[in-house]
Amino acid sequence: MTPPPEQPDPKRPANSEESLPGPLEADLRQALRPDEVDLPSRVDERVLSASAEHFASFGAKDQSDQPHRELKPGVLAWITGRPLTSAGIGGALLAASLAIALIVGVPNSTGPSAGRSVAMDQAPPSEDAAAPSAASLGADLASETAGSMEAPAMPERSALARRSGARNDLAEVESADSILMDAPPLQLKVAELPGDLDADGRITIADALLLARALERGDTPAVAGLDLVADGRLDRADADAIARLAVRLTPPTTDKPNTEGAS
Amino acid sequence: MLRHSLIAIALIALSCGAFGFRAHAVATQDAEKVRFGVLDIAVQIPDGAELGAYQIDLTPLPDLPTRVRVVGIEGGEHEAFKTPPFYDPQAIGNERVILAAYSTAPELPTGRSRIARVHYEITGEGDLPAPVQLIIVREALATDRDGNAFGVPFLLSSSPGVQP
Repeated sequence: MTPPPEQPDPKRPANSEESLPGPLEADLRQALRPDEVDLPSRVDERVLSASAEHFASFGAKDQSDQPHRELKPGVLAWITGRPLTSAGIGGALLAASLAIALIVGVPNSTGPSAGRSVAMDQAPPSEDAAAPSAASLGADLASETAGSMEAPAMPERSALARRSGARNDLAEVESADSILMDAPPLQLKVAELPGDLDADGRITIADALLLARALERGDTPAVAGLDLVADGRLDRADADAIARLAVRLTPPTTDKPNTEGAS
Repeated sequence: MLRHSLIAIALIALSCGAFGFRAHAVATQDAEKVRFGVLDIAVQIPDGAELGAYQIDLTPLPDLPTRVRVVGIEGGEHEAFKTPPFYDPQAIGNERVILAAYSTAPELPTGRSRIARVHYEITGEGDLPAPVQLIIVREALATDRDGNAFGVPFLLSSSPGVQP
């Protein structure tokens, strides 16, 4: 049964399918849908009402079973392809917190104290103490107007103590085990210098004074290598030789001091 | 005729320019001055203590526009440190010097005492500063008569220098 050609609806656009010429449309319908059957209008209404009831009940159930507020789709929702709820986000945060707690809370055998000890062992003897201190530099700048300068003395032993104290502070700061444990362990080495009577690792005028005072008292220090002038005896000349070693501008290249020059 | 005049003017201009450049160079060389100054080093010994030995490392401030050279070293005012201190002979003519002295004399300095004096030659342009404005203490040490180090302030001062 061929339906009668429909009259064009004036509300539809002129270029729609409905505006095809009647014979062409009839031919097209015949070619594309040859077994088209006509359904009674009540069947259509029944199907429409059934579907409306179905979707209405589905929407009501969805609202009653979902007490949580549905969040706006964000990046995670875009990634997961599903809308996220606050319960889902809370669970994810809880899982992440547990994972972080497990990772961080594992007791480490090389704790910060071990790192500090390594840092202490790694502190090599430095020549930084010979650099001009900011205090002396500032005092000197201040003296430009005053015409005189006051610079604090730095005793050898206290200077070394200050240096070790600075290393302690550094060790407290650098307690990263991974950094410290990767570095090869270094040991502090005290150079065995001829003439270093106080064994502070350096030859200073204090060593010369110690030898001179000992010789005046008639004591002979039980330290090898003090006969710096190599005359077979310990006397004031050896103390002076230590003093000359203390004032050298360049590091000594030989064990024997230059006995010429200053008196 | 005009061409010859222009060439002559150009030659005169070039000659004047070369002469001016030479005069400027000579003037720059003449602007460099030399000054000699002294640096007195004193120490303030605490009450009840005596100075048995000292060591002080003197060096110029970094990046100075002037050149500083050690040209002489004297001892101190106290009898125990009157002789010139120990120093490296290479320090003469150098900008840095380490001075050191010790004494086992029965009487040692107490209170404030000048322990050494260093003579400097300062070369540069403009108004040359005194050595006290150029030299800093790099490291210093002072001990009592038994060699025990103690912290004392080292005082630097400059007398008016000679400017030839």
